[in-house]
Amino acid sequence: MFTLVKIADTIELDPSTFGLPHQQALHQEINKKYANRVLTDVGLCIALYDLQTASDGLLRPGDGSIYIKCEFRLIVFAPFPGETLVGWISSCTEEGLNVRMEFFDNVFIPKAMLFEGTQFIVQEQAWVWKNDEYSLYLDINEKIRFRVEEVVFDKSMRIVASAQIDGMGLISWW
Amino acid sequence: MRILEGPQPLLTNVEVLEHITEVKRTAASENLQTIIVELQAYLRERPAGNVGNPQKIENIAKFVAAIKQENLEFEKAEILEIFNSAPSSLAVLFCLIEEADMRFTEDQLNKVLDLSAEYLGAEPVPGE
Repeated sequence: MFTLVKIADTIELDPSTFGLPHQQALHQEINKKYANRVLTDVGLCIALYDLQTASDGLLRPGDGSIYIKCEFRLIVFAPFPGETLVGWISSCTEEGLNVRMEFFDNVFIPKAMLFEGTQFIVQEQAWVWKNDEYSLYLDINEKIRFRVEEVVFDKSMRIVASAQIDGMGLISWW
Repeated sequence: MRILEGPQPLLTNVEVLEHITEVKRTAASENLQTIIVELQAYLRERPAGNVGNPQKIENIAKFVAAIKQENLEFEKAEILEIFNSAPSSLAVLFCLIEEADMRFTEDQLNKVLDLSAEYLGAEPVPGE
């Protein structure tokens, strides 16, 4: 889910920004520094929500920039275990399903976390959930609902997910 | 860089969509433009930005009031998940609520689905 995170940071305004109103320059620089960047153990930063405080500018010797201590809130995509999300199947492998969301494409559903009775069909490169009545395909580009099991911060950020209870799986099923 | 507070409060998808649409008009850096365009594309495929039937921000308060009137006790995160998902079936609603069958009667859960249809729009279904 999306949430707000309050940050304290010193923002550098270099001389190229001096023509802009102060607030506008700070907004731009905060977004430049944080938008579309992963904050480890927190989530993926989307954009500045609001700038709450800004100190007077400080100068450093031998450097034309102004440094301003700011406190501000960011909108952050911070999925949590147990949360239900929706995305698109981007590829199927023998190991499971890769799922993308338009702004975040690092979701993986391991085969052990798919519906019981789901099998990989090598010829079709697709997973099929066979229950008593139907064969339901989990195929590329289908819209899928899944549950966040774990959010991992290693080199970047990734979600390990499951789709094994009623309501999960393709949107068109339920 | 220091984290002072958060992650809280939670935001609904429709609040995020409104904010980034506003920010987009003055977005100056490429990283910001990229994430906004991608996130808008994502939210257009969710109830928040459903092209034919987008959610309305004022319906957050209306939905919360209607839930309260029915004496249904949800966690705040559950209400937001219901809002973001606009469930139209019990199966999907069960995904959004912890131990739904222990805490609520079937009539109550069906009432939530009625309120969802009234206030929350719908999840776009591909091919429909």
